[in-house]
Amino acid sequence: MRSIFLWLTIMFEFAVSGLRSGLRGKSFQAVFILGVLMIVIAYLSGFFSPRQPQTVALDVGFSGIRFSLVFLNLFWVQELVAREIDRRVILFSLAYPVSRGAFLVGRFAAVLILSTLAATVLGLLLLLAVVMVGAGYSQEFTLALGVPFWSVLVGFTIDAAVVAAFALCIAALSTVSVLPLALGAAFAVAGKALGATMAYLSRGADGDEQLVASYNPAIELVKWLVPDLSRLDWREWAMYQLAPGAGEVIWAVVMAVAYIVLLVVCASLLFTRREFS
Amino acid sequence: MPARLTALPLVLVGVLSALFYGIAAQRLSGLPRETARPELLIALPRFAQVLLAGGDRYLAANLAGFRVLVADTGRMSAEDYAVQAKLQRDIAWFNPAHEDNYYIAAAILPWNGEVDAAQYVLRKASDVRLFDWYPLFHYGFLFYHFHKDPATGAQWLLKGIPRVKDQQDQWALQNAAALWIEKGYQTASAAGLVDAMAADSPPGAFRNYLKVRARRLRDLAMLQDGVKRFRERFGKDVEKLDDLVSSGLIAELPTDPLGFGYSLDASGWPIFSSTRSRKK
Repeated sequence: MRSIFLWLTIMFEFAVSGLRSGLRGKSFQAVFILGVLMIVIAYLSGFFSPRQPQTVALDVGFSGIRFSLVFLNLFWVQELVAREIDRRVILFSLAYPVSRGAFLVGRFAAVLILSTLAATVLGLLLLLAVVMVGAGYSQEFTLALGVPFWSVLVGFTIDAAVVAAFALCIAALSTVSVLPLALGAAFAVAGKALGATMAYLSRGADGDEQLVASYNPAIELVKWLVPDLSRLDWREWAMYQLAPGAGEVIWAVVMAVAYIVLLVVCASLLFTRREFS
Repeated sequence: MPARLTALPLVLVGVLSALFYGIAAQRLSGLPRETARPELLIALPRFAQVLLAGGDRYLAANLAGFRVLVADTGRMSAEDYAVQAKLQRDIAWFNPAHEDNYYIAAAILPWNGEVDAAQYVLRKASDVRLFDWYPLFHYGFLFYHFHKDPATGAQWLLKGIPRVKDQQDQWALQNAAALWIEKGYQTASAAGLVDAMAADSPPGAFRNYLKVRARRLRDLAMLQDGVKRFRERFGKDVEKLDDLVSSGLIAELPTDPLGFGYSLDASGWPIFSSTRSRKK
């Protein structure tokens, strides 16, 4: 009982120190500015639309937030875990009388909190941009900017957390500090594109049977290894008031959370066996 | 060495670079600009578009949508419209609920020989946008105007009625369907519908485009009406459109704002001259 308490206390300390350095990090500030820029782009893109300026601004803004959150998460994992290993600062952290897993879980918790904060701030900015776009022309079909809007952001935060967990796993075993960032970005694109690819193939790839025959077996295998992150994208709810089915949401969240837990456990196991010279 | 002397070369370099900048800017302003065709040129495969958008199919839809929106229809050829049709099909696949996409597809594609693509986009939109009757209306209009099949068109209109929230719109839709079934195809009626589409669009180039389309249809309807009256009065067909003017049935021949003009088909019925057509 006492050891669990100690584990939690130290994990909490790692989380708090992670939060501090995460907020101070230059890359965080740079990516956050990028996120704000994307919201500005979303605002401007609304003016391209003849019929649904607010919907287009919201749509582009959602894509921008998802993109920013994924990169913020990757930078945080790189800064709070990979770089600490690289600079040997990790040796001080590991001097605590708890398992190395506490360090990883603490840092992952810090990334989650930072990501939630970033999603909230970027979400508020996007709301402002969308309301401003709507001041000129009232479109016929209104948006759902209440619960559906924030649910979409929750989905994106979970999506980014999956990517962060993957990057954490890579950071636990990689000796190159930029590897989590590079592989994490590739994982984020693959996971997000998986849904579109499966849909394309399952509908016959526009009649290209050869394409279906050659790629279908590979995709069938990949879908067990890489989670379909597009399932966490519920933006049609906010944009067109087309709510996703309860089953769809629940299973997407279960899939993501299970995958995160699996990756964090893998990361802890790999990290425990790692030798620091 | 005094500070002034060390600063001198730096000032010189600054003055020289300002001079070169001025000369270069002046020379460049005189050079003709290589005109990159702003139109659509190529469309990437769907999968490549999704990957370029970081796996995000909604972003891919928007990026392709912006390409369609910034294309200048006044400068487009039949090949450009074929590319636009492909892009709009792609957008409909990435995000079938995209409102601009179905609206632009309905307003531009069928008039430029891409009826199949317009049908595809509208069908996808109507399957997803269960709260919106416009895709079904435009889909019906394709049958009415382009396939000259008012009965099928009317059926699609009737399917849209349960989606209409406003009572007035419901009656208008029912009325239009009844008229299509009862009277068959009428150019003047098509002109009225395109006019309504224009009135429903925000002010700008897009609304003007629809207005031009409506005006052409109205002028064509006027010519067709003239031919009908000519036949009633003289008991024979017109040989050329000028006969309508010389017989005093119309004051002057209308000019086509798109430059194609009007002519008579083999049966002596007024049609648009050399409309662009493209077979899939």
